[in-house]
Amino acid sequence: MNDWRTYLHALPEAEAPEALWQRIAQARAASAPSPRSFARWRPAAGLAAAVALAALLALPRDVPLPTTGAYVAPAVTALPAALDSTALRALDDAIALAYARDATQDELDSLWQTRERLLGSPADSEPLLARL
Amino acid sequence: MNATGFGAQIDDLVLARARRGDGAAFEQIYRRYSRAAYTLALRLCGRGDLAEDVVQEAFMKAIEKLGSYRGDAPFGAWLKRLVANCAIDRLRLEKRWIDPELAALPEPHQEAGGEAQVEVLGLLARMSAPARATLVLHELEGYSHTELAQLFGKSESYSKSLLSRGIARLRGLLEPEASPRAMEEAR
Repeated sequence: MNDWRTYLHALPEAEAPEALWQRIAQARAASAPSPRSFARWRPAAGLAAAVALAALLALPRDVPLPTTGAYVAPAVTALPAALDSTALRALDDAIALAYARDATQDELDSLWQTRERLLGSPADSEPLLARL
Repeated sequence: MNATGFGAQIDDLVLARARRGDGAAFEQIYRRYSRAAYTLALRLCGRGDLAEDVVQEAFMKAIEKLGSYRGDAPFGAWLKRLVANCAIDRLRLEKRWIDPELAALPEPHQEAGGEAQVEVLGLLARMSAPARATLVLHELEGYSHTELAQLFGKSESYSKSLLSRGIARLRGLLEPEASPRAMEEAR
């Protein structure tokens, strides 16, 4: 195989070990509030939950939830069907050599912009996403 | 075609039930995304034990923060960022986030692991954590250099230089005779 992108996209996935779910379930159970602490609040909590559930079910399904900002879809991760892999390879070579000879930032930026045009991806200027 | 991995959909009602502490709903969310989460964590961390810790932490945080999830991004994309953030944080904590520009570092060796781990990682296991993360997140998960810069706490230029080195490294592993360095040395 002589194309690194094909190689990457062909890497298999892995199932998480079943024991991991048991760990997570136990950790969640250990971190949940104890039933005793809920005992005094159960009647009020139950009424509040019923009201909240009724309100939730009454919401039309197509009402958008409040947003904190526009969501920008991530770049396409599947291999583009008609990508000129020879040109991309040559460009990646040029970029690597530019870094090796300590090229100017302008030259590097120009090479990266050319690469993004070749991949057909939008300019790399998505709004910053706050770290969760 | 049904979306898989982090692109899979999850019913709003399941999320609502999970917010209220419904354990069955939480398990449903886990079952829907655990494969994608574990695969991403394994590819970023390079080790199964770290990947398991990262997945556990990410899902615990997801439940904790579910109340603040407002639906402005698909849930899978939101969860993916949690997993990536947890993985990078864990690598830093383990002091495995070693800058590949420190040329004195020895070549990273493939960690011992199961057969599935070896297949999932492939040649990525032979790369430094920052280069591996850049390749995986940019090429496979669609992160922009802006997002990578924020995740790494560095500049976009740093992210791009990491990607270039990562590509060269991977190509060198795949085809050692045709790597840019080999071509340069041959001139």
